[in-house]
Amino acid sequence: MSLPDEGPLLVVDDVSVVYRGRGPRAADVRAVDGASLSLDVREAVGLVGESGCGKSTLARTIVRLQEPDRGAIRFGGVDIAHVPRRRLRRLRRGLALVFQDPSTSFNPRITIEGSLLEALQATHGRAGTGGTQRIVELLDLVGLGEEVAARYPHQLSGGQLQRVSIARALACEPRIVVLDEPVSALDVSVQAQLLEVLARLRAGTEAAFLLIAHDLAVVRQVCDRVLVMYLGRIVEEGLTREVFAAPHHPYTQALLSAVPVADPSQRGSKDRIRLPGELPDPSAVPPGCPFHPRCWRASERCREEAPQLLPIGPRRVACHHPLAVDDLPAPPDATDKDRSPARVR
Amino acid sequence: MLGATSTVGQHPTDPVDPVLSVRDLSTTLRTGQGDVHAVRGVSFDLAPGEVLGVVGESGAGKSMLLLSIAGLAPASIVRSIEGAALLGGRDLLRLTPRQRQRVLGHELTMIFQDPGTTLNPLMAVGDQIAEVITNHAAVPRRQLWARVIRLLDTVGIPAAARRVDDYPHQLSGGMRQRVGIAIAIANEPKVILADEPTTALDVTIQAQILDVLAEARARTGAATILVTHDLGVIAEVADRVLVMYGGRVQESASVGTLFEDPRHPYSLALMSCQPRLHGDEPARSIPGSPPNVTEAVVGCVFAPRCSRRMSMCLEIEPELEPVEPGHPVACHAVNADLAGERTDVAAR
Repeated sequence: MSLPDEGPLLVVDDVSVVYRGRGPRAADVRAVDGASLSLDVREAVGLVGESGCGKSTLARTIVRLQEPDRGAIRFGGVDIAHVPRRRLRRLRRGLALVFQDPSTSFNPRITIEGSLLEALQATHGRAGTGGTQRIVELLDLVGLGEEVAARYPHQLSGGQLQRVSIARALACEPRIVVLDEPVSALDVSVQAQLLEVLARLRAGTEAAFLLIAHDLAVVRQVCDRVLVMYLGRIVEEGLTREVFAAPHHPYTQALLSAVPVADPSQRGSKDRIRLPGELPDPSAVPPGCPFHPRCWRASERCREEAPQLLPIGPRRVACHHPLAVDDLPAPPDATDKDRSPARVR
Repeated sequence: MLGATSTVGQHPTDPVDPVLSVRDLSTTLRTGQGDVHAVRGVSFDLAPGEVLGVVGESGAGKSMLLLSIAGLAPASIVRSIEGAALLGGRDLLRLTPRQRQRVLGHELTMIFQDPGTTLNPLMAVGDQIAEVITNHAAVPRRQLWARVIRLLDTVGIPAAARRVDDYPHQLSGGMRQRVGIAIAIANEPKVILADEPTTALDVTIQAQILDVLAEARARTGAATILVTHDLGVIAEVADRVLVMYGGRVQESASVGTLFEDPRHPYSLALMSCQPRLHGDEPARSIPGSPPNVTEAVVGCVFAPRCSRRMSMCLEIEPELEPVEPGHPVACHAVNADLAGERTDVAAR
């Protein structure tokens, strides 16, 4: 596939997705509302937010498992949001999706080798798949031995199977791998193994990664850049390191502050923000800034006028009253990280 | 060395009588692959109002420990439960079903990971809370309802008077967990057993629920055993911690000591598994996978994955031995360190 030499690999421009309410009284749900983002070659971008914020819908829309109601998704010089379905198959080769629960995304009656072969054939046709040799290579990429090839999905652990699903995604030599909560179903140690695999892949492949996760620390490990979503909108975007050290959007600050710190000496000392209430019903998004009913900085303006995602320095923030860098408490930084291994997160 | 006893975290000078004393608890399960020793020789004391955190990977025996204490381990797979769990002079492991009914939901209550599966879908939440109260005491209807509403209010359910008639499916996961907590504290229990109570929730809701649990503890003075795999939650909530692996307690210490000075190689490995929000240290996995303890154990269960393995680790299972008062660790390498320090001191 030929790509334009200049510009990002993928551009999502003002995409909205509306789930139509069924039945006489059901309201429509605007799951994604005017989201824009871009992804560069070899870049890893994280998409974070609470359950129901629309992050998975956005991911599914990018690979067009979900039709957008508005907006464009430009990939390889084509607007994939609007190409006819029959052309989609060829375009999709450049895009791969890894789901949260691998046990539901494999055919239980086909061996791992069979599943990988299927992916290879879909990309390269029946001949020229590289056959067994290529399958061994793919398994090796994700840190699995060739003995796994002959097994069935139920014979593998959750962590192993998730690695196979990453290998399967890589089989089509994608330009972009979209991972939807790839580690949230896994135990801590297995999760760490998978994060190691992702780090190795980032160094060793050309693909860009879009990682959807609700665990902020996972995104911090893998992604250069992060997008924070709230009720279908992107509210902050920036380099992960910078956003986590000094968030500009109050919601980002609240999310970060809710993550428990594995250091009992900091108990109570942290300026903790407790968000009141829960994510509002997405079929009845509050007017103005959707975050204002839970925001401690909200003003009259926030209740009436929805803030646009506008640049603040190198970041983009959708807030009328963004937190300035000097408003913020110093983050529990890495300055004394050698103190003890427990000083995590 | 199965069923090795040692008392974890019991301070000889501790003036307070424990509310719950667990002694040498061992639970064996029947499975298709033979018997699994899910819990092996666990002992601890729980002081009134204390929060004891239990941490470890899946399969470490954390949940089975709680279920065994509560008498809720599924009878169809239990081969045997041995040892003792003393609450108010009675051994919870030796209760008749009738006696157990009187204790459970009253003095001893449980909070589960997903209240969506433990609440009755066909019953309004108010009725479910009322049921727990009337099971243990006769309360006039009007007082009962006032108490139910007060409980829902305590756990932070807005407009409690209107939500009593809601069914579980009308509530969000966070709200359902609040109802689960309301049921757990309805009869002012002495001990609350909480099994991963915030794992299924978003961080912002998790923070709220941890606050609710703290508030509930403050109101009732109940002691809590909190099982979780999240060291962050442990650091924020627990007073004392048991680190479990392969069905056994491998290390136990006050929360401050455990995080400042963890000794067992498994505790250290578990800590470096957790991805961090700040700093450059990546999460490091533990090689290998947790054991299924199916046979009599030879040597240390963690030895196959351990970075400090010595030859004796494969032969003799280490006992819990204090590295300092109130801080027992089951590790040959740690013992060797200590012996080394002692010789150094003697030589000087």
